[in-house]
Amino acid sequence: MYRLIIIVATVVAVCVAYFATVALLHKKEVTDKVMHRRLVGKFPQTVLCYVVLTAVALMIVFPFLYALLLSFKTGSDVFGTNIFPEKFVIRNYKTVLSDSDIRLFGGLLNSILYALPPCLIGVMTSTMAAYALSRLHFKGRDQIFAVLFATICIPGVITLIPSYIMFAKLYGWVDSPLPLIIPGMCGSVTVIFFLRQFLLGLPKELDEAGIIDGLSKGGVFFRIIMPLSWPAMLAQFLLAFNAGYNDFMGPLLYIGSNKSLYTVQLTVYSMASANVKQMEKIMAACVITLLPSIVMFTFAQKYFLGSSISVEGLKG
Amino acid sequence: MEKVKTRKLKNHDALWGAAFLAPITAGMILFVLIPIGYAVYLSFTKYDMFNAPVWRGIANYQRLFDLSKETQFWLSLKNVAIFAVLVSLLNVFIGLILANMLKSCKAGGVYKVILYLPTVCSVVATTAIWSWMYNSDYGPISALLRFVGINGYEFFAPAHVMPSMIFMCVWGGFGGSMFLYFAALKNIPSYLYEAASIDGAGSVRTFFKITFPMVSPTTFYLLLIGLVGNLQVYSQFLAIGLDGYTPVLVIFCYAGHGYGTTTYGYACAMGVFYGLLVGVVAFVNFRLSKYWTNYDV
Repeated sequence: MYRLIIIVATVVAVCVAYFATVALLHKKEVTDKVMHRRLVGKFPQTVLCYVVLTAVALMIVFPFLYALLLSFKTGSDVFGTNIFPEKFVIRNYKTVLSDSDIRLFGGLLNSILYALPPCLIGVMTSTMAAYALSRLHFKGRDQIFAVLFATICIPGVITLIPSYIMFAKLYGWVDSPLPLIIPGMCGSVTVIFFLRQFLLGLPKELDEAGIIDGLSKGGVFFRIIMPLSWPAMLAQFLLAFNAGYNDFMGPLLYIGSNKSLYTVQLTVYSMASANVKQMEKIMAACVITLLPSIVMFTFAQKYFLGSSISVEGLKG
Repeated sequence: MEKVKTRKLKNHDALWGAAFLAPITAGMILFVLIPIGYAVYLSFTKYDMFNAPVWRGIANYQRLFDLSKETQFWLSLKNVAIFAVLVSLLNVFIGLILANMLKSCKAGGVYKVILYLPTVCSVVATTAIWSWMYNSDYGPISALLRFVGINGYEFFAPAHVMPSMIFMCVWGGFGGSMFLYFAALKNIPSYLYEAASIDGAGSVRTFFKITFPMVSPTTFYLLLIGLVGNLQVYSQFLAIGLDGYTPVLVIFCYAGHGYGTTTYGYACAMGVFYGLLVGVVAFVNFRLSKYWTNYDV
């Protein structure tokens, strides 16, 4: 209890000291504006920014580092108070990847296998729809766009149970990965919005030049528009792949109990919800699961971050 | 002659348009509209997945609105509403403050990437990590709490579960709002700030009179998707092992009446009602937005 009081008191004291300094400098500013610019506007604020950002960044990184350290521990070391492993072992990684009961490697392959087709084909069909909705002129185009926009606002929770019943009864797709793959192939409305926005930015003369050279409208799309829009398509592909890879609800509902069909998320979930939790192995599985997303994001942040702005700019 | 040719070209457009829009239209009808229609239909029936649905009229809705019997649904509705409002507001608030800080730092780009990291990560994996972070005996947070003199804090005790989950979800969610604010802040013309500084406005005043109104469309968007998304939150609670703790979330109620049980009709009534409720929240948000968002440059 005393320690808590001391820590809180220190924090309060630092805050009061900071605000007092700012206030004092602010008072001086009335007489000396240049001084104010230099001191209040720049120095203490920037330092405060760095301090706060560093603290938040540590809070963000800490769980990841903690999981990484824990994944190198031995089973008995997990329950120690030291966060650093007494002895680094990579046994846990070997176990989760090769153990025939955990099947994490198979889960990884399944995840990629289930995520790839809806991304590749879905981004393609979405681009086609975006092209039709932005650069083709036909009756009812804007109405179709409005209807598609309206479907974004439908909360997914309504369709949770009826979709399940439908996939089970009508299509017979339950206990197979088909419900995860087929709907995604038809395209997604958010991807259409993003790509439509992108395509609206391309000059109209491109289409006209293609028509004059004897291409059909479809030819214009495949020969001119698509090659030009590959950065936008790649961004959407990466986002969709990451979302598909991280999907949890879909596999949980539809994959059923057949372990050979599990995705990596289901594998981690089944490990984490087991009665006997082997924390060091769960953490190794988590690190392996997170690695593709983190690597993809680090090397392609331009695409990840760029595309979310454009979608927001459209709606906001 | 000329007229005929134009019409022919337009027909071509319609043909290609139909071909290009066919996949998304088929997907929408098969996987969104039919399930919704089916949900509305089933909500008026008694259905157990083996026998054909039996028409029951509004009996399911009567049962849902019978407040004396159906307490769990309404309790969890209250909980999820508190959860969604708090998480959305915290995400927006923290995102705005951190975006402002990023803007005034030279090394902002590095921090931006780090702070955005949880947003791209798997919810199952990060939740598994947090479940150990929150361990009351061996977790690092409880070690920290012990260091400051708080012993035996149970993160998943009924009174503490909400703050724990809110903290975890904000940890995983503020990156998106921070990034969108960062992009919005860059679009504010600098002459507004120059004008404010010439007029002698301090940093607090500048924030409330210039920054906040100028990013209000982003705030609106973030509150909208935040509320709609967090009202439907499920994965985090399930992955951390709170699925036995039913008063937490309305979707558990909903799922509890669906999978593995025989009351699909009642579950659909819950789902339709809840979906309408989320829709109303989005709609109210839209209508209120014109009073406080600003689209002028």
